[in-house]
Amino acid sequence: MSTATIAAEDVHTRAQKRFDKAWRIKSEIIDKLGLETRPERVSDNQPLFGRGLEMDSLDSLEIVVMIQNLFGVSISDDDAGAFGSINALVDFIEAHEEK
Amino acid sequence: MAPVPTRTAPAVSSEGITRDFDSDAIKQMLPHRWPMLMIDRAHDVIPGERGRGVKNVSINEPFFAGHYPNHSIMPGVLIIESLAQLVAVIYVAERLEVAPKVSVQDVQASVGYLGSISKMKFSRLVRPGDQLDLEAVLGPRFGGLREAAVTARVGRNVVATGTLIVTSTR
Repeated sequence: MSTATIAAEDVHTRAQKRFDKAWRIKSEIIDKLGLETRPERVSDNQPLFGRGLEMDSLDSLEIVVMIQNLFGVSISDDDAGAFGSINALVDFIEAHEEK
Repeated sequence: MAPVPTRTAPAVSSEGITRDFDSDAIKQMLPHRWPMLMIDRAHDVIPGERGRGVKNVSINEPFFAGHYPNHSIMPGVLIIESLAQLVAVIYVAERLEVAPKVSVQDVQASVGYLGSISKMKFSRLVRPGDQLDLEAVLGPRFGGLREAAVTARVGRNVVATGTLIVTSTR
């Protein structure tokens, strides 16, 4: 196979993995926080706090515990930027999970 | 300001140093008083991590007068309150490890608030004469909050179990 084909497959696989992660996170958040919505209705760029998913600080601790249990990744107080959106959360997990 | 007296010498267990606190020591750690002081003793406390406690349930407690007049049952929310107070003792024990000469007022002021109760299950009724054997294991921290897995038993039976989130700062 050509290099271009391998590169395209690699990008596709990574994109799929990312999509799966985001979907999983959205499903778990909806389930855990009892939100009245569905994963397909949650945009990846939607803010988690305030307008958007309207999470509060208590929810954020629940998410920290959930991410620790699902992906083995710890989020500390210094990483609060990870909660900007679903995309930001997935970025953080991908940057910190063990390959 | 008088410093908090150390009540017992720390014991060394397989998990490290553990501490015990009798009710006089607990009164120096928590701002709670009658009729809302719901823990009689704390033991095997690993400061900031986990601990056990005891709350004796007596017919003489004020809430039994109304709950209910002919059928004495300890309200589930007060079982939660006992567990939350054990969590507070574990917190304050950590504060005392770090700053042993801190004043009683400062120590009591570091007791936070209950933020969330989740997945609490009450499996058995609790009645006068029961001794609640309390256990709390503290979990991750984030944003000034901390999760705690809590369980109350009477004898070998679990009577209540669930998860609390408490604030760790005022």
